[in-house]
Amino acid sequence: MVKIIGDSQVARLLDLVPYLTLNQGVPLDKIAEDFSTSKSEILADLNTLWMCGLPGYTPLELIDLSFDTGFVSIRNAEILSNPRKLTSAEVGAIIIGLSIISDFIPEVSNHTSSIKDLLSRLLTRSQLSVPEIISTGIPSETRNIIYSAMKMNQNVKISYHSYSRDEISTRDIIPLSLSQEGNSEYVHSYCHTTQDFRVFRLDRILEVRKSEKVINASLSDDRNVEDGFELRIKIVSNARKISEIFQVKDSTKMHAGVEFNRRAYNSEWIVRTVCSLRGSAVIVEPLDTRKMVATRAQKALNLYS
Amino acid sequence: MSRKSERLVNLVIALLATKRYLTKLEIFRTIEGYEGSTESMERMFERDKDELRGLGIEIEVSALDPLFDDEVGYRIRSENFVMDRNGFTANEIAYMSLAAQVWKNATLDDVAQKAMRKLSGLAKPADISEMPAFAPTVLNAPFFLSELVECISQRKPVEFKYVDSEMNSVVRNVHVYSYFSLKGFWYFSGLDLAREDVRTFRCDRIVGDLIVSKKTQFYDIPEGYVTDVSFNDLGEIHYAQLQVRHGRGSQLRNNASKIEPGEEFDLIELPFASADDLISLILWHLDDVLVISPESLKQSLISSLRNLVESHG
Repeated sequence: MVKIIGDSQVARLLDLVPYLTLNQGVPLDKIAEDFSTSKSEILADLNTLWMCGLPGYTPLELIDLSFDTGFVSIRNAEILSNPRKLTSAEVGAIIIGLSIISDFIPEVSNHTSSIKDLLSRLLTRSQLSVPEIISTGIPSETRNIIYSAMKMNQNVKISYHSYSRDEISTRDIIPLSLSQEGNSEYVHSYCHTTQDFRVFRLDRILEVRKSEKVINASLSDDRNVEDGFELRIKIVSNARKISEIFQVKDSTKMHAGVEFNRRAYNSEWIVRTVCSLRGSAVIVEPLDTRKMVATRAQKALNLYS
Repeated sequence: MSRKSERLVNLVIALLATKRYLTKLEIFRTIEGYEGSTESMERMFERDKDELRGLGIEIEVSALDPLFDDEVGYRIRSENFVMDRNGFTANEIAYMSLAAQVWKNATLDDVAQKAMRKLSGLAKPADISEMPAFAPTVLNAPFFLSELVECISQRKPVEFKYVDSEMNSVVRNVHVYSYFSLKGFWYFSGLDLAREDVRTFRCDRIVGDLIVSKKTQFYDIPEGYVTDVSFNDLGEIHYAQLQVRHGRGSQLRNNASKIEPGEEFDLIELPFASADDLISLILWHLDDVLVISPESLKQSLISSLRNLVESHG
């Protein structure tokens, strides 16, 4: 696999010719967009390309471009008119991308088998290694229903496991956007049940159903995130697990005996998490959260007396 | 900059158009942009070749004929340069473009962009806008994903620093067999040379770079090798009897082998392989779960609870 080098003008010029040949009369703006660069850069490219051609370099041999109207067409560029081969790094990116997509689309979709077929052909040709598994652990049905409801402005009914309260509830929501934080995916929604904006973690949605109701109002969540509180935790052992659970930024400094601060928003989550760590992490501050661990653990202990 | 680009594009055109090998002298004489002393043109040409090869362009060099005092010649074969035009359907081009778009703002964005550009000159893609393109998996893809694929494909050994459970980084030498992504994390598996056993590594636990050896085809991937993605030690399965408060503990209920409804608490039978994992899970549920048996599990749980009360008192 070729090492990734910065974008070079030569590479862009070589890719520009087949693109222009296929899209005769394409507006400059569109080229800049498709090549993720600026219009002035594309203009500079065209001015360079204009001087290229077969040895001899008379008008008969030079590439013929017209672009003064803002629309670009190309002639006399047959030799470069076919797109270049993909490098193995590029095929690699496509292979992994395709594997990811096939995890998303519903099994029944008619794209499934075509994508599998394409993947296996790319693999035989490139001899590259494909990821053994790509799975987000979220049923493709959940993602697809939410995705299409989002596009169509529709309601969905979800059954949701609220983790820190350990309760299952049924809610009618309008999904507004999808996002990711850490290693989890979330759907930002308006929840009719609580009449407020709520964020749900996709892997805790146990069931999802489409409802036909269309929403006309455009909703946006512009509230500030609640402030939370400062938490100080001491690592007793299991440093790696603790830095991962609390998503510590500079985790290489985390060792047994180290104390660190973290912003916390949900004390119920903190208490339960610290308990499940069996004493390898101890809350130093705030005192009331620290006490809460002792009280709740004592309450559980009382079950055995 | 653009003078140089011009010369390079002209070089590509000339080498592609020729039916026979072009000698250096012919190149210097006919291709626009080669100027100065022979020596400086030679240096220019060497750099140009390297740059084109860096772009993945194969420049073929003629074999030296021992009987003749020939000069070396150069050409680019069209079949090595051009993508197979009839290779893909409009739908397939659309799938590949979508696959490339998946990398937007993620690890392989650069590479994927270049692939997109090439594909956009092949044919107009079909419309598959009904397919969701939101791909959170790639946001967590390690920055060394390209190298990882390369080392597996070419059987190159790798070296890296990996943090152990107490955050000490330890150098590991591995023959990588496979890679995968599960629930937002990326992993790879392979033979750990020091431990003489197959291990799985989580990419975000690697400190610094993946150092890929230059040696290729250095090892074999065992035939029929399948990655164990269950992460379970093949330990014996035990059964725990738990009392779980009504309406609580859905994580426990989901894996239960038996549930007997009761008044305030339901009786649940739960298979488990790792007592440590189960204790953590039960502790999470605080006073909503009571362990009945096995006795050893109950005693460990009680001592964990005592420890928590003490350390937080």
